[in-house]
Amino acid sequence: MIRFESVSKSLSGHEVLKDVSLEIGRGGVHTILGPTGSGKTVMLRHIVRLLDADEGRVTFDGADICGFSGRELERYRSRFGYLFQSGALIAWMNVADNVALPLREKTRMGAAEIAGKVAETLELVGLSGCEGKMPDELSGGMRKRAGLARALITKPEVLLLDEPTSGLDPVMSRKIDDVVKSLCGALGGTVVMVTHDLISAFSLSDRISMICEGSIIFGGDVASFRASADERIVEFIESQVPKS
Amino acid sequence: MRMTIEAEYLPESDNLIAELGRFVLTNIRNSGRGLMMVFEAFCFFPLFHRRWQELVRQMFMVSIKSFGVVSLVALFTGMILSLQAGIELRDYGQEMRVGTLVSESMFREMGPFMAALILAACVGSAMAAELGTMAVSEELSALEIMSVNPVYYLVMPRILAMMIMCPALTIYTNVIGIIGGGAVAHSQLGVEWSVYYDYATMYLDMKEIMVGLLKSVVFAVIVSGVGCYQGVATKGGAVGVGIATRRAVVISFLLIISVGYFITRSFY
Ligand SMILES: Nc1ncnc2c1ncn2[C@@H]1O[C@H](COP(=O)(O)OP(=O)(O)O)[C@@H](O)[C@H]1O
Ligand SMILES: [Mg+2]
Repeated sequence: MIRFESVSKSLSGHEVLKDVSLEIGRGGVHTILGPTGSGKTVMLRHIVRLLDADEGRVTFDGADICGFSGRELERYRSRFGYLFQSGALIAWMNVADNVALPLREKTRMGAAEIAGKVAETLELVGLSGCEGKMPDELSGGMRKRAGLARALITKPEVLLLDEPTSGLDPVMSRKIDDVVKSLCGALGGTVVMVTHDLISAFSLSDRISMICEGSIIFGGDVASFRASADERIVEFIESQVPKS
Repeated sequence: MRMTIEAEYLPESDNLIAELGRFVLTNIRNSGRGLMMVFEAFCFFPLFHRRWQELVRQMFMVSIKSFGVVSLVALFTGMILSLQAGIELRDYGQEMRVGTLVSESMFREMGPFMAALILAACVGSAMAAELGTMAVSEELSALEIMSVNPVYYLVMPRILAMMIMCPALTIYTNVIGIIGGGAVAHSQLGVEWSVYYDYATMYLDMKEIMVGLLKSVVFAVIVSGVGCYQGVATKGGAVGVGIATRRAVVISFLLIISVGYFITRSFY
């Protein structure tokens, strides 16, 4: 569904993505693993055109997304829910207003209906009762869950998750994993998840890609990832799952 | 306009001429993008009712943040004008005319000028810091992918609020300045209040008042436009927010002074 075709990208004179090619199919969880600073966030930003490729192209269902503008781009973006690494909640709005924002601005739903959906979505991510809190009263993990609620509330086709479980305790991490899993199973949605949390990567992923210093060094399913002999992958796995 | 798309990268260089060229190009590009952003915000003015809560909040911020400073500065500006002119005029026995001088200078130049400088320092800088923080914490990107245009959502209410409140604060500045001048005229120069008042209003015509207000509206667009543009164009974390804030103040000051001169020149 989403294809990176030989994408290269430089930011401030520094080549961040080097000839990246990647195919993300419809349905299921596609995980992008990689160490910090390897270009995972930059890849996600290309998918929703927060960044445009210098060379190569990104296509969605065969169409070059750089061709989209105006209404078309708006319609394209409305198919995505994006959880930012920092949560990216609007600082001067409380949690409920933040989560309601996409519905308020982009749909004609009434206030009562929106409030119902907000409560439902916040419950899903385990944030019931935090409606009135401001973002700076929340912990990092709570902010991330509120960001997830905002990404989920429009019931997007594709969910882009930038490190959904970093900064969360293990129990909460597994809870988020469950949310992602149920979303994928029930709605048949597609999830593109960037993470370095191997537990959620292994338990959720249908496909794993590994990026290292701006290049894709692996693409395949979980079993072949674990069996890989590439020393960068072995080192990455062993740093989190000690050999027993 | 797509705020979060980065401009073409111009590499730094050791060559002095290349650096000069980079400086000029960067500034031309930023001016162009800033003007486009302001123009886009103007295009969204007809939709202001959908953002009226934010508009009211911004109007409140503009006035509350600057009210105290504006009052003090206006008072002392009037007092200084009155004292300076009064001492000279007394040599010719004309100190009763000081009212005319104070009110003319306040309405024509000092009122719009002082109010705008204070707004740039108190409010323009705060806009740059607030929007800059949003830019570096991905909040603007979040708005963009929700297809909520940051110019409509954030910039338009700020510019409009400033365009409403800046003339109001300018009138307030003028009035306080004239009162301050009167206090000095009365206590230091021995001019009666009623005489001062008569002279202050005698030569004041509509044109002066309107040109002063026109200036304040133009200054409002400068202060809020520069503040907002520096904010949304912020890069590079907390350090970047600091740089954006300083730039917003410096650029606003320079533009207020130079544009003020040209407006005066074209009307008198
Ligand atoms: N706006 C930017 N300007 C310059 N360099 C950037 C920018 N965004 C990211 N980078 C650089 O790109 C590289 C990859 O960043 P990123 O995709 O955020 O890494 P991560 O894999 O941890 O998400 C890093 O080296 C980072 O310094
Ligand atoms: Mg990242």
